[in-house]
Amino acid sequence: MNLLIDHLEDCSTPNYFSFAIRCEVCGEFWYSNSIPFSKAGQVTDYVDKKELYDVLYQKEKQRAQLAAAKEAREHFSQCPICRRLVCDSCFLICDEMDMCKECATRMKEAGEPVIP
Amino acid sequence: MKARIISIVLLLGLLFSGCTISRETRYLIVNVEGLEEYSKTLQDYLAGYEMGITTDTIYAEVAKGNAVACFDVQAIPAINQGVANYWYPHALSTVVIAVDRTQTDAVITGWKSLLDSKEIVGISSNSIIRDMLVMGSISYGLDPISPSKDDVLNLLKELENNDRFMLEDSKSPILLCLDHEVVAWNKAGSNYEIIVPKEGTLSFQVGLLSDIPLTIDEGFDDALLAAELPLANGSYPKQYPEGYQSAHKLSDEDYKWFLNVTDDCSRDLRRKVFKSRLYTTADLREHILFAIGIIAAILLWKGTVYHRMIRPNVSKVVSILCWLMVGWIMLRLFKYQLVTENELSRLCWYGYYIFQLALPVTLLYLTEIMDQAEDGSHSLNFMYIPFTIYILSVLLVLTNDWHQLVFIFDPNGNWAKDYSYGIGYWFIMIFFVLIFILAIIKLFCKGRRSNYVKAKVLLLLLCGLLFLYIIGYIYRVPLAWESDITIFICVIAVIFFETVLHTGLIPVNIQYQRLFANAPIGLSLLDDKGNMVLSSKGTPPISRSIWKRLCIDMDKPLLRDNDTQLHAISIHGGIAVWQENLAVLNRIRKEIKEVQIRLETANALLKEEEEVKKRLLQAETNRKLFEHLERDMESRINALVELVDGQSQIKQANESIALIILCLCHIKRRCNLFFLACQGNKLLGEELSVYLDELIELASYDGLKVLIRCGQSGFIGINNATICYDFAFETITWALKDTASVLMGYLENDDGCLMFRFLPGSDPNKWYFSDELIAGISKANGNIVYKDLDDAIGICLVLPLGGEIDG
Amino acid sequence: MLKKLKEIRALNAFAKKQSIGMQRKLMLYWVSMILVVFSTVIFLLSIAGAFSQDDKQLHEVMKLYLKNTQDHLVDHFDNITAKSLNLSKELSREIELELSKEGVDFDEINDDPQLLLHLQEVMYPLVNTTLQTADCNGAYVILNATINTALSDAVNSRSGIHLRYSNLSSSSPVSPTVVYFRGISDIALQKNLELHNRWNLEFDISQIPLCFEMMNATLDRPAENYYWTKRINLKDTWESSMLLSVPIVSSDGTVYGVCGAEISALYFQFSYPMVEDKFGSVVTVLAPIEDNRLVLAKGLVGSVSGTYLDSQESLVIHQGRYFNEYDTGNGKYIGLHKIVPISNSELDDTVWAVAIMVPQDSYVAYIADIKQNWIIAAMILLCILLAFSFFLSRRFVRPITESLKRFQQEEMLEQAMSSGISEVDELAEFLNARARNQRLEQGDLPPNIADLFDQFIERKHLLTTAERNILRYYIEGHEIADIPDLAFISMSTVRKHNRNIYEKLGVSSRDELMLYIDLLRRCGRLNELL
Repeated sequence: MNLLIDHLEDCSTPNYFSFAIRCEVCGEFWYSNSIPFSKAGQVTDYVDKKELYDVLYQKEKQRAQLAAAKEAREHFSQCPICRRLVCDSCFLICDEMDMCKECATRMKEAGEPVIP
Repeated sequence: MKARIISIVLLLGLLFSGCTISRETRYLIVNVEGLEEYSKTLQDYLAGYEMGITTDTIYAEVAKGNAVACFDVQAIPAINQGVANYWYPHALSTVVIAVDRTQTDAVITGWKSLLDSKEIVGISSNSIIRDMLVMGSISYGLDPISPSKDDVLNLLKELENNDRFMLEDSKSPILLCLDHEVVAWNKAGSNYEIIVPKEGTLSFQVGLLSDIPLTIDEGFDDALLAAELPLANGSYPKQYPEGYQSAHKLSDEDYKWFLNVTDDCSRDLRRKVFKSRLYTTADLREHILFAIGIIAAILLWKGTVYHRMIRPNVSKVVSILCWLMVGWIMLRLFKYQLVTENELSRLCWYGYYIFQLALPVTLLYLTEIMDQAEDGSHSLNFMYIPFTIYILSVLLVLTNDWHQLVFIFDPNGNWAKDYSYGIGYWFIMIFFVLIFILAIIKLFCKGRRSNYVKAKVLLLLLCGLLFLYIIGYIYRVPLAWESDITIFICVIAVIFFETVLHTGLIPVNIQYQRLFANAPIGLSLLDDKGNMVLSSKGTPPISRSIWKRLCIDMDKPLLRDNDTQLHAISIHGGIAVWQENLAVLNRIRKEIKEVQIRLETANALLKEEEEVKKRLLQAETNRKLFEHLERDMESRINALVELVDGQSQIKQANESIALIILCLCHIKRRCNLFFLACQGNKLLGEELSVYLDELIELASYDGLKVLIRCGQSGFIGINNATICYDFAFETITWALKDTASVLMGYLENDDGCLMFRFLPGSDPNKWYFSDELIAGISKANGNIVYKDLDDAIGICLVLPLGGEIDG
Repeated sequence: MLKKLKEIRALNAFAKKQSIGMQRKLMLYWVSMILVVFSTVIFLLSIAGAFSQDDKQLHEVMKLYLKNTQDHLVDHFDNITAKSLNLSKELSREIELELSKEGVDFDEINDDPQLLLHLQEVMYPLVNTTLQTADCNGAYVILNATINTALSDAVNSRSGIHLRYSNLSSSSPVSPTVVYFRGISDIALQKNLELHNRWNLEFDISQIPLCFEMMNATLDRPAENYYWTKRINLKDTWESSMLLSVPIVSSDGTVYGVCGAEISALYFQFSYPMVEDKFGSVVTVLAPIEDNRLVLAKGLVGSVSGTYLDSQESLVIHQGRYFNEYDTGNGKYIGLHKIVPISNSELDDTVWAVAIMVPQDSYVAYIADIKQNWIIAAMILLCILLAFSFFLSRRFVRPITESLKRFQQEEMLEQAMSSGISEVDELAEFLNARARNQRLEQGDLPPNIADLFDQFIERKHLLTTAERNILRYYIEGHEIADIPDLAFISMSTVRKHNRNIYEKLGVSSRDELMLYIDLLRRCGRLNELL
C-alpha cells in the first residue's frame, strides 16, 4: 500500500483529485477515478473560509489518495525480481514465480500476462 | 413436460402435413369442376381408390401414384412428355352454349351470334383448364383449319367491350360450358337450352391419368350412361336431345395448336380481354419472378445504403424498412400460392396491413431522427402516438372478422370481391395518410436547411411523383390505375429514404471508414460507453481508466505514457481522442537538462578556482605584511639598539632600563597597532588612553611625572591612534632625555580635529621627532605646532579627523 | 345427496393435505381468475344483447322490405287494373257500336270470320294501347265467340287478341318488341307484327280459370268483378303468366267476353328483383293463401337466384314472433306476408298475399357465422389467456424450482447465483449456512473423507510456487482482499491465481476450499498441504 502511495503521481486540479501510476515497464499511465472536490467551484472572499477550504482540500486529497491507492491495488503488482511496479498487462504469471515482462525476457521464462 | 410439448407439436405437425397417413390407399383426384359426376360414378368401379381433393398439380398427384380425372388435353401432352404412363378415356365433354330460358329468350346459334345478342355471356367455372377448353373450342369454331388465339381474344374482347363477358359466373343468362353439365342442371330443375355452336366446337375426352395400370370394373360405360354422361365412343344417353352428337375430337396434331392457343390463357384473358390491372403480375410464374426481382432489388438497395452511411440508428431504420417491404411481398407471394380462397388467404390479406401501415410510421421516425444526435436522448416521445395508432390499427384489421368495422363482407358473396370498406378502414387510411404527409412536411422543413441542390430536386421529384400518381389515379390513367399499388408504395418509400439521405442531414460517405482508418492522425472515436468506434492506423487502444479520466475533464490533456499526450473533445454520442507525440519534446527537454547540469558543474569549478586564488592572494599579503613588520621591527630594534648604545654611554643604568622598557613597550604596542591597522580595525579612545597610561607608568620609573588626559571617547581611526601613540612616545622619550620632571598632555577632539597638546617642563624646541612620525603626520594632513605660552612652550599635534575617523 | 356431499368434503380435505406443486397452484389460481373474468365478459355481453339482436333486426328489415314491396306491388296492380277496366269499358262501347252498325246480334258473330275480323280490327288499337301504357307484358281480349263452332274443341275455343312483349330480359328491359300471340293473322300482317312462334288463332279458355264462368254469368256491376287468375302456363310455350280478367259487359248486361292484362313469371322476376341483404337473398312472392299455405305454383315469384325456390312449391306458414316460417317440405324460408286485395269478384275468392322471404339456411348460416366468430374469438382468447397463465406461473415458479434443484444437487449457492426472488435467496442462504455449520459442528466425517483428502493433497503438486504462496495465505486465514498487500501483486493477479487454484484443486468456490482447509486442520493434516 505504501509502495503504491509512494508511486502515485498527483494529477489533481483545484476541482477534482486524480492520481496516476506509471507502469515502469511499458510506461503507460493508469489514472485513478477522479473524485471531485466537495467545494469545487465555490469562490469565497473571506480569508477564514479560504483557509478552511484549503484545509478541507488537503484532507480530501489525502482521502482520495488512499482511495486511489486502493484502486491501484487492483491493477499493479510489484515484480519480485526487479522490484518495479508494473501494470497487469506487463505482469506475467510464470510457472515458478510471477514476474514482469522484461525480467521474463531476460530470464527466458515463459508466462501469461494477467490481462492479455 | 418437454415430452408432452414435443408430442403435441408432432401431433400438430402430423395434422397439418398428413404425413403419418400411410400411402396404402390411393386416391382418385378430381380438381376440375364438371367432372364430379364422372368421378362419383367411377368410384364404384375403381377398386382400392378413395376420393380425394388436393390443391397440388395433377401431375404431382400422378407422381404420388394417384389416379387423376382429367381431360385429354391435360393427359395426352403429359403422356407424350413421359410425365404419366396410362390414359384411360371414358367419357366425352363438348363445349356448348347454354341459354337460361328463364332469363332470356334470345336467339343464339353459334359463337358469332353471341355478339348479336344483348345478354351477358359467362364462363361458369373458376378453374383455368375450363377457360382453356372454352378458348380452344371457340378458336376451333372460328377457324377450324388454323385456329388462332387472336380470333378468340378478339371475340371475347368485343364481348367485354360491351360489358357482356364474365368469368367465374354461373348466373349469366348465357353460359359457355360442357354439355353434360347443362344436362345435369336441367335435371335439377333449371331451364337451359343446349346450343351446339353451328361454326363448330370441340369435344374433349374425359378419363383417368395414372402412372400405374388401372383396372376398371365391368359395366362402367352403362353406369356412365345412367349418370347421363356421353361415352368416349360417341354414344349418348337418351336424356340428350335427339340427333345430338359429339363435335370434333382432338387428334394428336391438334394438341399442339390447342396448347399454343390456350397457353397462358389466364394472363391473356386479363391483359387482352379484360384489360384490368395491366401493369401487375397476372399468373403464378410472373408473381414469383416479379417478387424475387423486387426482393433482390430491395436487398441490393439496402446494401448500398449500408455502404454509404454509418449512422447506426439510420441503418436500423433502413433494415426495418427493407424487411417490411420484403415481408409484405413475401406474404403476398404466399397468398398467391394459396389455390383456394379460404380463411388463411383472408388472414394473409389482413396481414398486408401489418407491413403497409408500418411504412409511414417508419418514415416519420426516420424524419424525426435524421438531424438529431445519436445518443437518442431527445424527445422522441411523440413517436409513441403513431406507433400506438399503428398497433391499434393492425389489431383492428386483424380482428375484422369479429365486427367487420374495416371490411364489410356480404355473407353470401365471395369475400374476395364482394366487400365494402367500413368506417374503421377510412379512419385507418386517414391516420396513415396524415402520418405520411407529416413525414413529408418534416422532410420539407428539414430539407430547406440543406445546401445541396440535389436534395431539393429529389424532394420535388418525390412530391411530383406522388402528385402525378394521385392525379393519374383519379383520372384512371392506366399506368397509375392499373399498376401494383404495393410496388408503388415500396418505390415511394425508397425514394423517400433516398431523399432523406441526400438532404445532407445524414452524413453519407462511402470511404469514410477506410479514410479514417488510414489517416495518420492518431485519432480515435469512442462511444459513450468507452468502446472504440473508429480508430486511425497505429493508434493504441484507450484504456478504461484513461477514458474515465478523460470524461471527467476534457480540457486537461493527459499523458498516456511519457511520450504520448492525449487530448479529447466531446462529440455526439462519445468522445474523440487524439494523440500528441511528445517524444521529440522530451528529447529536447532532456538535452536542455543535461546542458544545464554541465554548466552548473563548470560554474562550481570556476568558483573553486577563485577561492583558491583568493586564498593565495591572502597568503601573499600576509607574507608581505610580515616582511614589512619584520622590516619595521628590525628598524625599530636597530633604533633601540642605537638608543641603548647611546644611552649606555650617557645615562645611568636604571634610566636606561626604563627607556629600554619604554621602547620595548612601544615596539610591542606598535606591533599591536600594526596588526590592528592591517585588519582595518578602529581603536577605542579608552584603549588608547590605557596604552598611554602604560607609557606614563613606564616613564614614571625614570622619574618623569607625566599626566595625560584623554578627552577622546569613542573610536579613533587606527592611523590617527598610531600617530597619537607615536607622538606621545616620542614626546615622552624626549622628555626623558631632557630629564624633565613633569609632562602634561591633553588629547581632545576639537572642532573636527584631533588635538594632542603637550606642555613639557623643558624646551621642546630641541626635540625633533622621527622622520617616520613626521611622514605619517603629513600623510594624514596634520601638523605639529609649537605654541609659546607665557612660561612654557606647548607642542600641539593637530590631526584633521575628516573621513579618517569614520573611515 | 348428503352422502355425496360428505364424500366431496372428504375428497377436498384429502386434496388439501396433499402437497400441490406451486406451479399447479398458481396455474389453478390463474385459470380460475381467467374463467371468472371470461364468464363475466360473456355474461355482460349476453346481457347487452350481443347474441340476440339479429332476430329483431331481421324483423325490422323484413317489415320495411314488406312495406316497400307491398306498396310497390299494390300500386303496380292497381295501375294495371285501372287500365284494364278502362279497356273493358272502351271495348264494350266499341263492340256495341259495331254490332249496332252491322245490325247483328252478339250471338250471331259465331262462325262469321268476316265479322270477327272486323271486330278484332276495331279492338286491336285498344288492346295495343293498354299494352303500351299499362305496366304489364301482355294485354288480351277474348270474345265469347268462336270462328267455327263445328270443330271438336269449339266449346273451349274463343276468338280474341293477345299481344305480348317478347325478348324481355333483365339487362335490356326497355326495348321489347310486341309479338302477336293470339288472334287472326291478318291483323298481324296489317300491323306488320311478328307472329309469336307459338301463335294460335284462338284462345283455349279451358286454360284460363273462371273464364267460362265469367262469360256466362250475369253480372250487375262488371266494374267490380275483375279478378286475377292463378298462374297458368301459356299453351305450347315455356312461359307461365297471371292474367287479369275483366268482363266486357254491354249496356244491357250481356257479357261480350273478357279482357285484361298479363303478367308473366319472367316479367314479374324482372320487376321484383331479389334483394341481397346480409341475412340472405330476399325474394318477393305474390301467391294465394290456401289452407294456411302459400301456393307458389298459383302465384308469381320474384327473382330467385341464390335461393332454392323453383316457383312450384306450396309453403306451409308457421307464424312466429318476429317472422314467419315457410316450409316447402325440403327447405325452409323465413319472412313476412300480408294479404293484398287485388281481385274483386264474386266468382273468385282467392286470397292473395304478398310475401317476402329469405332462405332460412342463409340466415342460419349468417347467424352461425357470427356465432362461430364469437366462439372462435372466445376460444382463442381463452387459449391465449390459458397459455399466458401457464407461462406466468411457470416463469414465476422456475427460479424456485431451479434453486430447489440446485439444493438437491448439494450445490452451494453463491451470492452471484441469485434466483431473483429475495425470499428464496434468503432461504437458500439460511439453509446453506445451516448445512455448513451442521457439517462442521457434527464433526463426523463421511467414510470416504480420507480418500477425498488424499486426492486433495495429491493435487497440490499441480500448483505453481506463486499459487502455493497464495494458498498459504488462505491457510493462514487471510481474506482475498489482504493478499495484494501481502504479496505485492494486483487483485487481478490474485483472481487469476485463484481461478487456477480452484481448477487445479478441483473446488468450485472459495467456501469449498476453506471447508477443505478447515477439515484438514481438524484432522491435523494441514501441514501436508503446505
